[in-house]
Amino acid sequence: MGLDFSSIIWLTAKVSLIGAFCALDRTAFLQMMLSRPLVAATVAGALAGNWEIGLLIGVMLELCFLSEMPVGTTIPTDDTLLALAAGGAGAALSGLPQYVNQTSTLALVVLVSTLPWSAFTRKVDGWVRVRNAQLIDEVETALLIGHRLDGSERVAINFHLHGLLNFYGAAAVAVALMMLSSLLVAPLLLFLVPDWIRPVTDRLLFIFPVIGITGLLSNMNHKRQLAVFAGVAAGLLFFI
Amino acid sequence: MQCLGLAYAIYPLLKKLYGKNPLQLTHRTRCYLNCFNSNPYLAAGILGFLVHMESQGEAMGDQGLSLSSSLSALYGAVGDNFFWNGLKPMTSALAVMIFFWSPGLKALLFLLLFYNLVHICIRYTVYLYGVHRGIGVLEKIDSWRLPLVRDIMEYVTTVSLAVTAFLMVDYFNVKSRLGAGLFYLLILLLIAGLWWYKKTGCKGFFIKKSELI
Repeated sequence: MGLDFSSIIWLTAKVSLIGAFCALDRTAFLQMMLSRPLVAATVAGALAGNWEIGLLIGVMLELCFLSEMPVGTTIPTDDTLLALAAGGAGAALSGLPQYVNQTSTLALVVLVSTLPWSAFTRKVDGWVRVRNAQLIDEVETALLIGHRLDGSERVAINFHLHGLLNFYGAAAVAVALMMLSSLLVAPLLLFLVPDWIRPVTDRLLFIFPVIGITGLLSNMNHKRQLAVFAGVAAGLLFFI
Repeated sequence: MQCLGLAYAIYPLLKKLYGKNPLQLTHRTRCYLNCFNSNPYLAAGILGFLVHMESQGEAMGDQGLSLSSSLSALYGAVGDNFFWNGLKPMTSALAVMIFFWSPGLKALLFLLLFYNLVHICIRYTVYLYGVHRGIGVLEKIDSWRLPLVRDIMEYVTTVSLAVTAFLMVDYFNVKSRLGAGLFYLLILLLIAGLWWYKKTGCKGFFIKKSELI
């Protein structure tokens, strides 16, 4: 038993259209951390009916791509889009009776089915930025040819807001695509997981924070920080 | 793209100053469409500085614009290092640590409240300093010693990552046949192994690839 077609479309539309506002926070608007996976996945989960699995997926993704800095002309992986798609798909599938009490396994499978899209999210981000860079020329042209006495500068300068629309549209389409693919692939992956291995699959989720911790440690400037990490980690051994 | 945002932000002032002369208004607006690239948070200080200069006349506005290109590069570097390399990883690491310590919405609330409190205070302060004191905003930002604060934040991040690795044992090891100690060692071993793998120059590691515009 799976989700019916109308539920898939309704939930995907809801998550992609409302969730895309979180994606705007990433570069285009505010930058108030609404775009962090922890927040975005929880929002997507809440929209699809289960914020708890969204929160779990968000925590797993939170550190994963943090080592990629948006410095200079580099475009990092858009973890907001991944979190929205994974959180939405996970929450949508968690409502099915066969996946009750399998929250962690479901989160793992949804993440595995969404992460391959990371290269696609960079392409989408790059495309929007190139498109938005062209807006400057459009403003220049509008200012040169516009009727200067009737406030056309204001109209020209409003091209700035078109940049928001580009980001929003691209995010909504990308999230919808990724969520749909995850809703199709995740049940298949869950079907393929043999019953005997199922009880331990949930514990494999720990690999995501581990990858994140490694990425952040690799980015540290001072070697002293590694010693601090090793010291604290060794010290905590006594508390086990 | 940031220059379009800068022009959009300063347009109300230009309209107020040159609204009666549309030709000049268009000319001044176009001046702000030149390349501008800085850190989005500290850009508020540069915007304040430009508002201060432009209010004193066109000649001063031009001086402000020529200075702003150096300022944007400087605060692009300082701001990126402080916010993207310091505050953001620290807040995220602490939020994840809080989640593994006590699963629930506390982690999410901490992430939103702490980060926003810091960056809104900084944005607001540098903007006001820029507007009222012009180039004096440099002294204000310099007095905060952001590179030093960033180093301290990096240590906080490191400690919270180590504690997160420890707390993960409790979270994931429920009903596991592995002993807690063994599981903890496995996690540390994985971190060390992946770190070494990354440092030795792996090419296909998915978290390292980035697109260039």
